[in-house]
Amino acid sequence: MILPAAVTGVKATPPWGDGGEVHGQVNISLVGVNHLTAGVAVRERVAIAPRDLPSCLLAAAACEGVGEALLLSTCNRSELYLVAANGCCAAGAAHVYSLVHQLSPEQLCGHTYTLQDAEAVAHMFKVAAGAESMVVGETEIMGQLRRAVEAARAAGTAGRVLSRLGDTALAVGKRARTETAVDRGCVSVASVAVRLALQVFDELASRRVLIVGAGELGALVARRMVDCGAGDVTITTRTLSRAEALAGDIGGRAVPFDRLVDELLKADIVVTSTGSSTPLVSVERVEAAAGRGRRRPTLLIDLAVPRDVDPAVRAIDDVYLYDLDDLQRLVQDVEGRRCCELPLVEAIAEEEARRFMLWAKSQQVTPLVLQLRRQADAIRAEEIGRLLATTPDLTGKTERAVHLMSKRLVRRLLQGPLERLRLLAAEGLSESDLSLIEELFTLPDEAEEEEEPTDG
Amino acid sequence: MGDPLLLLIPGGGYLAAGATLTFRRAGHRPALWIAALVYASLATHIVLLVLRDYSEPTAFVASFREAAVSLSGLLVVAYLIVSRMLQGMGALGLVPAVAGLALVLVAPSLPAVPAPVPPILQSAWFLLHVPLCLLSHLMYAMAGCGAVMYLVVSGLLKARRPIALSGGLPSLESLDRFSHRMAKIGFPLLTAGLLAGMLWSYEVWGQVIPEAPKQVAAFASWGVYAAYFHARNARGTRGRFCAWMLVAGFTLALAGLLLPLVSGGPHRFI
Repeated sequence: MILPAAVTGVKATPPWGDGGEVHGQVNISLVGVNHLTAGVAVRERVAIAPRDLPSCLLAAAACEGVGEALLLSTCNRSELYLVAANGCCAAGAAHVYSLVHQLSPEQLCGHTYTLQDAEAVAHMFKVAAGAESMVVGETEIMGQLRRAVEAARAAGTAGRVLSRLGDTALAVGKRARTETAVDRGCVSVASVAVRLALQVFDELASRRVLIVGAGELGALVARRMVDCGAGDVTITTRTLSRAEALAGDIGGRAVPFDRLVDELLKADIVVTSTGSSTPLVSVERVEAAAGRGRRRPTLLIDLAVPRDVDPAVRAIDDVYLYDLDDLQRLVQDVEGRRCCELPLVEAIAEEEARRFMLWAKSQQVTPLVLQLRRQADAIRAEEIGRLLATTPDLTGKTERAVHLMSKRLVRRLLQGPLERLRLLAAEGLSESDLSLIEELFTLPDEAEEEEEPTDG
Repeated sequence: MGDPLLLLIPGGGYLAAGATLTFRRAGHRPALWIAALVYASLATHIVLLVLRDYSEPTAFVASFREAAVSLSGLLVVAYLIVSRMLQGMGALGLVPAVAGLALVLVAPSLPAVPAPVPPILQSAWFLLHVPLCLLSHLMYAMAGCGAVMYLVVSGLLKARRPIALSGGLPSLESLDRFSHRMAKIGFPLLTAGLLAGMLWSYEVWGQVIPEAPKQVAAFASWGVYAAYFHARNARGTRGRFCAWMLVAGFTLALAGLLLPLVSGGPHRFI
């Protein structure tokens, strides 16, 4: 295995300096693989374990022309964000990607997507908002992105641009979730079942939950109910040992199957998932329960196919019966509603990306702007000094006025050109444009500058 | 304050706020402007109440329109207090909406000028009977709103409509508890108010219960509430049956308030 120079320690200090500076035009590139473009066979090869992340980041950053690097690797995506100096094109970024993953470009061919600048930035924002996730709106991605940014910062590969990009993406993710309903609702049968229970009852702690049958889905729902606070869970199956196993697992009480009717009378929430071919819970049984002065809301969740609860039970007042189809319809409805929010999320991501690109583009002229300001200020100070030397009888008041006037003059003279410079930069300035500007203002060589701006 | 156009200001505010609260988007917390709107409407409402004619202190009982305006104001105040006390019940936008409807639709259609205020109202019993009965009716209005919401939410759940889970609606249990609490406060107030009324009536007319539709409705509503508590406490009944009883009880109580408009009898005021 050939390790890149940065990993073997040949290059002690990375070429991009401490701040990860890229001078000239800032290019943000993204190369990635996700669950839509590649099957699990490819995804598992490009997935990077957290402990390998620093070496991969350094490997990416050590490549020619790369200034900053950030790797976001989850089970559904592996994306590499690069900030490169002028001329780093999509093909170059794809090359870095294959190098980092130690795969040949042919192996990745057709599975990767490459985005540049505003599109790459908008993509990261959408990823943060969960709009690109398999389960739209999921929040886990925020934590994964935060860890990715932290890792890149720790490895020193996230400079000013990617650091800010990562932070902005996290803020955008939060904004999208507050301003849209992309993360509302629940999206699995188990969570919909719990949500139903909480729409009928305030809390689950004091409710009697009866689990009939230890089907896989039934056990899942039971576990979720316990997670959500259900304190009184009774489990009954035809073979008591299975009930005992599940009861031991989730912390409930197993009872023999012949006590089913008694338990039905006491239960507030009943979850059934048996393999029985005839309904276990009939209208008579539920009515018998209701008849004993026990008219109160009962939630029946029937997860079995064929069904365990007679659908006619629905006609009884205060009985809320949901079968598997109903739950699945609710799940799809939540998914559909989340997807309806996607245009809103995308609009937010694009708006934020535009704003970010304005900032990023103006970065290339920030040193120039500071230099111009410093130069103008030096000239001003010099002229003031000369004035004070030749006219010593100035009163304090006049001196202050002269100071103020000179400052205003400098500010007003520079204001217009600098504003236009930033606007031009936002549209994109080439290296020759920049040197022309430097030439125009006869600025000293940039290498002489000691102070560097910390932020735009 | 009898001008229906002026009543539109607070009434419209309550209606807008109440409707937004009831039909607000799934999962979104009630916005600050809704609360601001309710408070602003209440402020104009109070101004209208303060600017009333003070020459007849008991006129707000004798004039049906004034009674509707004062009662809806009290209803909103009670709603604000209760929504502060009970977390999660702030969503019960039906209450301000009902107050708004009372101001916009009901009050203008009620007679504004009282018939000459009956001399029997000049009595110490007034201070006991009227506040007790009005307060109990407020509580029952809140309980009734909670019960209507219960019926709506349980209907949606029974029909397996996804909107029932959209996050904006209170749970059935909390609606049931809310209504029960309100009724629990209202019941002793109503009992005491009716007793005071009976004693007053005995003093003035020599009859404990004057045989007028108003009194029949008032006692019938008391009976329905008594039955509601019996069903809950003795039989452990919960659910839609209880909600229907509260709706019926409040309908009777409301009928008791409004019946003197159309019926005869000595009690020709609200």
